[in-house]
Amino acid sequence: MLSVINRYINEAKLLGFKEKLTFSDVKQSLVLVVSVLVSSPQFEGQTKRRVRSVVASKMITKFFNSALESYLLKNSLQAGKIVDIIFSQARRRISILELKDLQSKVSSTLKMDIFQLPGKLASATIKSPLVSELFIVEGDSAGGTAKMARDRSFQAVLPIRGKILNCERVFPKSKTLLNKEISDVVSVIGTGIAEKFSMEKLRYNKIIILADADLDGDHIKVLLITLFMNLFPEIVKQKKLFVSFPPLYSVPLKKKVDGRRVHFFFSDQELEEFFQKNDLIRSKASIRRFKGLGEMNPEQLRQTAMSPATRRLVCLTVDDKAFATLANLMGKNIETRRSYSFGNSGIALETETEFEKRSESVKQGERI
Amino acid sequence: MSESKVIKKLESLIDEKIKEESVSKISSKLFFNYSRMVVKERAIPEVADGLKVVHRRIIFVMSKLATHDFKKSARIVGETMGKFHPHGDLSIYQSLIRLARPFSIRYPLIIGQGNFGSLDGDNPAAMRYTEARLSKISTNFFLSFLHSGCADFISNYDNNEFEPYQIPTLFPFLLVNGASGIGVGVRSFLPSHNLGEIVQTLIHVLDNPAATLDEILGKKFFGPDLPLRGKILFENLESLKKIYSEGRGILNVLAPINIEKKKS
Repeated sequence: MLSVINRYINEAKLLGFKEKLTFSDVKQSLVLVVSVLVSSPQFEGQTKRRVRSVVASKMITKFFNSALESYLLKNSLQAGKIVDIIFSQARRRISILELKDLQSKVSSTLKMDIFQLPGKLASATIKSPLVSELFIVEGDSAGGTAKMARDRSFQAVLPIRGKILNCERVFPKSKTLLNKEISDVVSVIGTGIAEKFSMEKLRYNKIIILADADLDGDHIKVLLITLFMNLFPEIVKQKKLFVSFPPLYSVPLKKKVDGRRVHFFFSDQELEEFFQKNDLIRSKASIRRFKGLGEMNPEQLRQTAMSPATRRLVCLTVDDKAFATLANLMGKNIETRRSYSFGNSGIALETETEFEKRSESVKQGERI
Repeated sequence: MSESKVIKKLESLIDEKIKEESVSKISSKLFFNYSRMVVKERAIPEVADGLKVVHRRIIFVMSKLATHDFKKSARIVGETMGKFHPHGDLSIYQSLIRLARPFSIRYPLIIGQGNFGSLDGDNPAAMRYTEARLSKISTNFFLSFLHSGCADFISNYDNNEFEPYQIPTLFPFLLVNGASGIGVGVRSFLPSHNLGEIVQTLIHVLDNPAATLDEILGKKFFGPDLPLRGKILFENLESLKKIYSEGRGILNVLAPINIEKKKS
């Protein structure tokens, strides 16, 4: 029967399904009644579930196959419907197979991770969910600095490499665990995901995202927020996720001002205000703009981004629009993303990027 | 650790002032900055010279370093990275390679010496082995005005150097070499065109500023000209005209085929 249907599909060029069909696909969706009279039938097994006469099965196959084929060829409308049903059965079978495969992979990674934290994690000596902090740091080079800069008694550091997977576009969500970086984060946090999620197992009081102050750093922050909102929405809801904003500028001065020689600034505005307040001339000072965390010395990083006394953290809260916004920004639909960043207001193309700001300064005169 | 130290630490943790901000607000702000940068500075080429920022920086560095003699790629990449482009060395080297491969770009701006990879997907040699210099096309048409005072220069990322904002070229390189890029929510794709045809067209347009597409297409220029001699298939001139007037459409390309017969 399968061979007849396969042949029909080939001849009628009913495409739309690439995998090979199996007999079970056909069996589950088609019921055929054939009336046969056999003298001295043989049965299979004690319960006599099937007739097993060799002569009968040969004869039936011969007559039935040709009858089925001519029926399919004559009634193309019904045949198309039958083939559709068979395809949907086959698709279902294959997706079940894939899901099983995925489950076994995921459960094996989960099992492994309970006992084995990733080697990249520099854990803290106090392992208490009441005080411990986890810094998720962009890049191995900044990770090294952060390891030296932290207070090892309660701050742990996990470096992740480059741009991580966009979790918004992965479905089912458990599939994200196949990604090494993400399974590292999941196992370090300790709560497990989806049905196995339990807030009690959370190993840290604060989870802090620490990425460069440049625009790629901004992207990484968004990707990590997406990861948490997709896999651990509860952690964000309970205000355990933070974003650290490292300074943009450092200004070393010759004299001490406000008791310090080196000052850090987190925005252009702060920098302006500082110069105005203290009557300093901007062009005389050597302003240094940080491009990456890797540029900083451990001492600088401790002062500006890691020590609770001086760092600037922003705590993330979940509002009604949170999930919809992320779906718009990071989801599959290009149109919504485009209208979100350009269409609504057209601000995006009007506001200046840093590159253009620099170009203005020179265009007004000083050509070389 | 003494107990007083621990208490002090805990106090500093409790005293810490933390701002609160909603996920939707902060992520749209961050993503907005990033997407703006990608579209304007990274993925979409400039109309004036047909170059993305990386490419322009490489060409500029080479205009000082490697106009006539071959120089080590690593040196060019290092100079570009240190002076103008504070990103990974690999991405800079890959951009350099693209500009040098005759099968990636219609008129290569760079001549490569050594293994720059092949069409079959073989990887190019590491940048410490290969060498590069500017091609005649770049030195004659690209750089003729760069150092003569009519280019706008802007300061680099740390205000220590100057880089060109756009390179003033002799003819529109964007049309000649084409471009492709994917930004956030937008993308661009332009096929390359024949240099001679474009020059003919430009002369015609300069003489007749009111020239229409009908006067040019099929007479002065004949559609895209691809680096690998692929043939463009279209039904009639009207369908090609539609693509050029709307700026959007599908081009079907027939690859050149060479059948090798087995000798019996």
